[in-house]
Amino acid sequence: MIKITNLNKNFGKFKALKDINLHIKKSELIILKGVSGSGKSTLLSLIASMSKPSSGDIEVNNIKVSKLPDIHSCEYRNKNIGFIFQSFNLLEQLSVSDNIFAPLVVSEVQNKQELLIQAMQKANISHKKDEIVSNLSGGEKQRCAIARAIVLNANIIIADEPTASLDRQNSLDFIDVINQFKKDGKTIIISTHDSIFDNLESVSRYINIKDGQIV
Amino acid sequence: MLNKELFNFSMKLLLKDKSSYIFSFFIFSFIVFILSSVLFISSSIKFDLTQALKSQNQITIYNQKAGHEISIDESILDEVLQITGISNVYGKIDGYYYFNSAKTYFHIVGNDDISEDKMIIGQGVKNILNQYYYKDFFNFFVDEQKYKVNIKNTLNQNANIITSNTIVLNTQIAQEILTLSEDEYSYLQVQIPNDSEIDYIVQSIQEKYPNLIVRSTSDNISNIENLFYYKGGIFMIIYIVALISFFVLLYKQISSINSVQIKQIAILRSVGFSINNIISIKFIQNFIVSVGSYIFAVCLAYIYVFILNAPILKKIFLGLDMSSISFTPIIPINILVIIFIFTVVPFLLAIIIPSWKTATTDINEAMK
Repeated sequence: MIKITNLNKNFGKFKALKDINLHIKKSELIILKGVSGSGKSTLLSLIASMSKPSSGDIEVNNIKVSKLPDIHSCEYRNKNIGFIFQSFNLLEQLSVSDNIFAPLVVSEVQNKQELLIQAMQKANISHKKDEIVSNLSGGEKQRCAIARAIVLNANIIIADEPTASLDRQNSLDFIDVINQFKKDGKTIIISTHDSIFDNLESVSRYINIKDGQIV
Repeated sequence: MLNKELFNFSMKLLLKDKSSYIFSFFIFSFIVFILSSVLFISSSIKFDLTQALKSQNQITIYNQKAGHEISIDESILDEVLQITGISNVYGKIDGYYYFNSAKTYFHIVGNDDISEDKMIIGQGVKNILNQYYYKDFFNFFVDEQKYKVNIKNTLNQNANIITSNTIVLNTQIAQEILTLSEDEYSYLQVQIPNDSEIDYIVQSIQEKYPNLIVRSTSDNISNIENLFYYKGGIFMIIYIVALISFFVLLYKQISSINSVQIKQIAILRSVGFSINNIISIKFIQNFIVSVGSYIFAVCLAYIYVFILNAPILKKIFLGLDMSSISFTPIIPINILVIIFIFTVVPFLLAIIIPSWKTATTDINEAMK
């Protein structure tokens, strides 16, 4: 499903990723582990086509997403990727439903309202749909971000340090959500150094990254 | 691609960020209001003057001495009439009477159709005479002689710049008040049946009388067109104020792409918005702000000039003597279009270019 070949990413002279080779199968749950600055987030953003590699390829479903022009990489991101950020990255001044609706704005799907309601129900945030995001708690923001990530039924869920801003209970709730995604057959890649993800039954593989390399 | 949802989403973001757009809205409105008001006033004045000139005959002849206009002798009238192509020549009585009490000039115009003891006055004259208790008549004092003339009626209430300070008198009385003899006129007007001969006849009169000033109506209209010297005085000050305000606005627009806006763009990009989508959102938001404030300012300028009669600006343009005139509503569409192009377009570019630049940067970097 996701094939990464000889991937390098440089920021000026700094080599954030060095010769990454990775193959992720459909419905796998991958945990990327590593200390801060090891290159986990950079790898996730490259898989999501949010930035371009310095060299190497990323193929998703046999499409070289690393080579896509902007208009197609946006479409790829919109249709295939549900990204959950550490700091949620929500539009703070808008309501919960407006935030979740954002990916639908540029989508060509027909049943947008139906998808919005379904996503809010799955993420258990329907009761806060009219609330302005800046008024939400951390856990509620997390659920809003999850709803936004799944609103278009993305087949790849990427989460970058998803529990770093959450308390233990909300972190456990998030793991329940992830387990549900796994059951739904989604491919999930999570970067974390939170021990709560250790020894999870549903995890397919743990991949350690150190100094931009898989070890 | 612009769709209904993108438009609605842009509007939601605009309304949620309205505080950051209020400054732009008011500065933009101020600039357009100032420029539109000045243009409305100048266009209105030009229109009145041009219309007055168009109602005249095709050629006007003035006499001059030492560079000053002086009266013209009736004998020239008869001689001009002999020139081929001229159907008639009229002597016109036109001059200024100084009303010492109000320290103001009245524009005196002679007319054969009015009886000797009657006069028609402009609205501005009426207002001034009322202040000095001349309700039904006025006494002209010329060389220690008094001419009592009754007020027959007042020119149109919606007095324009031409008629406001005008008094129409019987030609003979007008001559006496302006101290002209019976065979003297202020200027001559020449009637020419064939318009294509005007330039030739102007040349013929000029050659015959090198000391006379001979102007066709089109010459006079050209002079009116240059009445408002755009590079000088009040115009220059107003334009500089507008220009500085506009640059402040553009600077604000460019710098308004702050960290919050950058993050907002990055978030939208991360959920699948393309660069074109981002530019569309920014275009919709700023088009609504700029066009909305443009329309608001033009309407405000219309009300200010044509309904409220342009307080302050009217005194600057016309002086205190013209305080009673109303401006003829004239909307210079072509100039309003130019203002639109030179304000709305740079305004939009000032936001779209930085937004485009932000949208093309690395999403992860922008979100930090």
